[in-house]
Amino acid sequence: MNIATNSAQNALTQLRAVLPEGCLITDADGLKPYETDGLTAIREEPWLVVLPTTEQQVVEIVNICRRNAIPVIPRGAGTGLSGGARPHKNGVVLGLSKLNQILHVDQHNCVARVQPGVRNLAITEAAAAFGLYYAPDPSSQIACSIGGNVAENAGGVHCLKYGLTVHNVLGVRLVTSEGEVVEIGGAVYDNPGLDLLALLCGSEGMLGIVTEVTVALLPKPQQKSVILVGFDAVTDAGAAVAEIIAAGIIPAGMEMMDQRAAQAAEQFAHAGYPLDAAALLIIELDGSDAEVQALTADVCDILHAHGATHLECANDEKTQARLWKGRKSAFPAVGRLSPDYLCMDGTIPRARLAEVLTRIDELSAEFNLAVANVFHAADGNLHPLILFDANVAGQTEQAMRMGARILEVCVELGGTVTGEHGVGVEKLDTMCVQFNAAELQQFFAIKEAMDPAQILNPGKGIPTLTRCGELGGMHVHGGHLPFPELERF
Amino acid sequence: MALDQTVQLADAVATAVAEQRRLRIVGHDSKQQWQWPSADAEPLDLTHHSGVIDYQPTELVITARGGTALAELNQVLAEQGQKLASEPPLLGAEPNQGTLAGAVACGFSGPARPWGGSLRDAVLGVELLNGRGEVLQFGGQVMKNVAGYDASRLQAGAWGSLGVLLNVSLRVQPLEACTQTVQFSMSAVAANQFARTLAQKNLPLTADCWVDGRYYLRLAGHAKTVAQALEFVGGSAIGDDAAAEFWQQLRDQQQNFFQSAQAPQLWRLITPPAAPLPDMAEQQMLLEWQGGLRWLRHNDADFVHSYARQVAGWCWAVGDCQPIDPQQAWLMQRLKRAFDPAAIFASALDFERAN
Repeated sequence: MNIATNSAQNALTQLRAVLPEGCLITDADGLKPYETDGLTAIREEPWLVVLPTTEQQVVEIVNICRRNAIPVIPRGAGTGLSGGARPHKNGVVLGLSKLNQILHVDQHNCVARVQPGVRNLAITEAAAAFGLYYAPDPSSQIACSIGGNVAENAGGVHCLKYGLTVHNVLGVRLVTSEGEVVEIGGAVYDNPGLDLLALLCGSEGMLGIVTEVTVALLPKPQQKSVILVGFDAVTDAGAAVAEIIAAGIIPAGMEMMDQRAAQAAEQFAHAGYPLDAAALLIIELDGSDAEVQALTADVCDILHAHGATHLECANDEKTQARLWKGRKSAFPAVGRLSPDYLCMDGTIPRARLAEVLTRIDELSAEFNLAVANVFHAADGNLHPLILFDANVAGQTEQAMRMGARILEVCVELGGTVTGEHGVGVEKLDTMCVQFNAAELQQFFAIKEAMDPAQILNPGKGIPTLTRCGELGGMHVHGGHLPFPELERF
Repeated sequence: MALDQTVQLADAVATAVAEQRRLRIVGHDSKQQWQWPSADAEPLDLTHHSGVIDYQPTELVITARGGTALAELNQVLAEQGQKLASEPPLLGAEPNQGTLAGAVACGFSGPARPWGGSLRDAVLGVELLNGRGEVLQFGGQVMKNVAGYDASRLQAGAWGSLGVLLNVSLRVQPLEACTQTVQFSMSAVAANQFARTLAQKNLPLTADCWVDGRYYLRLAGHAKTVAQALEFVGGSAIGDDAAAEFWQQLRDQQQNFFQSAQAPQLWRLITPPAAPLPDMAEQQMLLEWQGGLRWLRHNDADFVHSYARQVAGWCWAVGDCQPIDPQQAWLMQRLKRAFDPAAIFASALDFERAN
C-alpha cells in the first residue's frame, strides 16, 4: 500500500463494508494486472482496485473516495491505447468488469441496454438473433468494453459510413462524482436541454462513471464485397480514395497501408498482399445485392483509372476474411519488425495525405527511426508506427519526440492529435500544440462543473497550463509565443 | 460590410459583460415560436457574420460562419451533389429564413433523422465566442477527433446558452442517385406496426410520415437498391415534384397539421419508436421517425405528460419552455456557468425553472 494516512485507512474500512467478498484487491499480485492499460510503456501500482457488482456500490465507492479525497480511476477492459486507465499510486482503480450483463435486446426499438463491462462484440452477438448488430467496431472489439468505448468515443474501420460511438449511443446512466445517479437519454432520438451525452462520449472517465448504456442496433447489410488493390505510388492511392468519395460512394470501410506495413502484414498473415506495391487499399462495400454488385464495378473502374497495379475482389466470406486478416494483424505484424514500436493516432484532411507521408519520411530520416504507416483512409485517421528499440539508450525518448513532431504536422495541416485513441497521459504534451490557454481553461471549467471535487481520473486528458508553458521545444508560430501569460524558467 | 464580424461580436460580448447586460443571439429570428421570450435581453445580430469559409466536397466537410443562411448552405452543397443528411428545418414565416448557427443551436433534425443522423451528429467543430468574450476553437474539420472534451457537439441544441457560434464545420453526405416516394392508405396504428417491420430490414429509407390516414415512405440510394426495395415495400408511387414538396413542407412544418391556428395545443413528443400510440383521435397526430417523433394536437397537458412518462419519452408544448429533467438541470446549470459565468446569454433553455 502506498498511502497510510488516516483518511486512507478510513476509506479502506468503509470500502470493505460496502463491497462483497473478492471485489476489493489490495495485494501486490492482485494489483499487478491493473498497473497499466494498452499503453504498456507506462506503469504504476494502484493503491487498491475495487470491482463493484452493482450501481449502488459504484455510488458508495465514489462517495467514500470523495469524502476522503482519494482519486478514482475508472477502468473498462484495459485495452485503451493512451494510458487513460493508468492508475494513481494513491488512488482507487474502479474496474467495471463485473457489471457485465446485457440487460435487454429490444428488437422492436432496435436498441440494446447493457452494463458498461459488456464487451463490444458481445452486443453484436446478442443482437444477431434479430438480424441486428452494433456498428462501431474498434480493432479491440473482442476484448474492449462498451463503457470504455463511451469513455474513448471509440471508432473502428467502419466509421465513415456508420459513425463513432457518439453516433450510436442513445442513453447512459451516469454516477456523478457527487454520487448522484443521472439517467440521460434512452431508446429515443433526442433529448431536452444541453447534450450531456455528446459531452460524455470521449470524456475519458473524467466527468462521471457510466453504469449503463443504451446503444442503437442496425439491421445487417444484405451483402458486402471486399476489394484489395495495390498502387505503385501512395499519391495514386490517395487520388483514388478522393475520386471514390467524389463519385458519391461512401464505402463501409477504406483502409490504406504503406509498403512496410503491407509487407509485415503479409509475412504475418499470408493474406495474399502484393509485396511490391508502394500502397495497398482495402475497400469494403455493403448494401443490397444489386447495389454491391454495381458499386463494386464502379469502384474497380475508378481504381483502374488511377493506375491500380494489383486488384482482387472478394464476394465470399472466406476470401473477405483473408483480405481483412492482413490489415487486422498489421499492428502485431509490425511488432515483429522491431523490438518496440510507438503507435500514433493523428487525423488529417484526406487531401493532405501525400504531404503528411512526405513529412513523416523526412522525420524518419532526421531521427533515424523507421516508420510503417497504417491509415483509415476513409476518415483521415493515420496510425504511423514508429519502430525503435527500448534497450538502446535514448531511443524511447527519440521515438516519443518524433511522434510528437508527427502530431504537430497533423495539427499544422488542419488535423488533430488524436482521432480515436484518446489523450490519456500519452498525448498531454501534444494537446498544448492544438489548444491555447483559453481553450484549455474552458475544458477545466467543464471539468469543474461536472466533477467539482476533482476526484475522477485526475491528471488525464487535459494538460495544465503550467505543463504546456514549461514544455521544452515549444513551437513559436508567426512570432507569437504560446502562453505568453506564463512565466518561463 | 466585412463578412467576418468576429471582432465586432467579441467587442459586443465584452461590453455586455462589463455593463452587465444580457444578450439574445439572433439570426433570422425564424424560431420565435420555439423561443422562451426573454424581455430583458438585447438582440445580438449574427446575420452579418456570414459566408462559406471552406468547402472541399471530397473531404465531405463544409465550414461556414454562423450567420450564413441555411438555404444558401443547402444550395452550395446541392451544386456539388451533396447535402446535410439530417435535413434541418427552415422554420421562418418567409421562405429561406434560418441561419446555420440558428439551426445548430436549436438542434432540430428533419424527416431523415433516423437514417441520416441528427444535425448534432454532423457537427465536427465550432468556433465559439463564450460568455467571457473569448474566441475558442473546438473539434475541427476531420471525421474523428477525440482531443479534449466534445465542446462542439455540446453546442447543438444549446439554444445559444453557452455562446455565439461564430463558425461551424459540418459533415456532409452525397445526394442519392435515385429517390422515390410511395404512399399507403392506412391507420396510424397500422403505420406504426408497418414501421417496425421496416426498421428491422436493411432498406434504403430516408424519411417516413403518417398523416391524415396515409403513410408516406421515401426511399433513396442506388437505383438498383431502390428498385429492389420498392418491390418489397409496395405502395403507390408519388410523382417527384409532388413528393419533394411534401417532404419540404413536412421538414419546414408548413403542413396543414402545423398551420391551423384554431386547433388544440401543438406538442412535440419524442418516444421510443415502437411505443404504443396515445389513446386519442388519429387526425390529431402526425408521426415521423418511424414513430420516434410524434406531433400531437391536444389541450389536456396532463394527458400528454402522463402518456409521455408512461412510454419513457418526453413532450414539449410548442411555445412553452423546453422541459428539462430536474436530475440533469443542475449539471446543465453548472455547464452554463462554465461557458458564461456572468449569464449574459439569454436562451430558450431555462435551467433555473427546471430546478
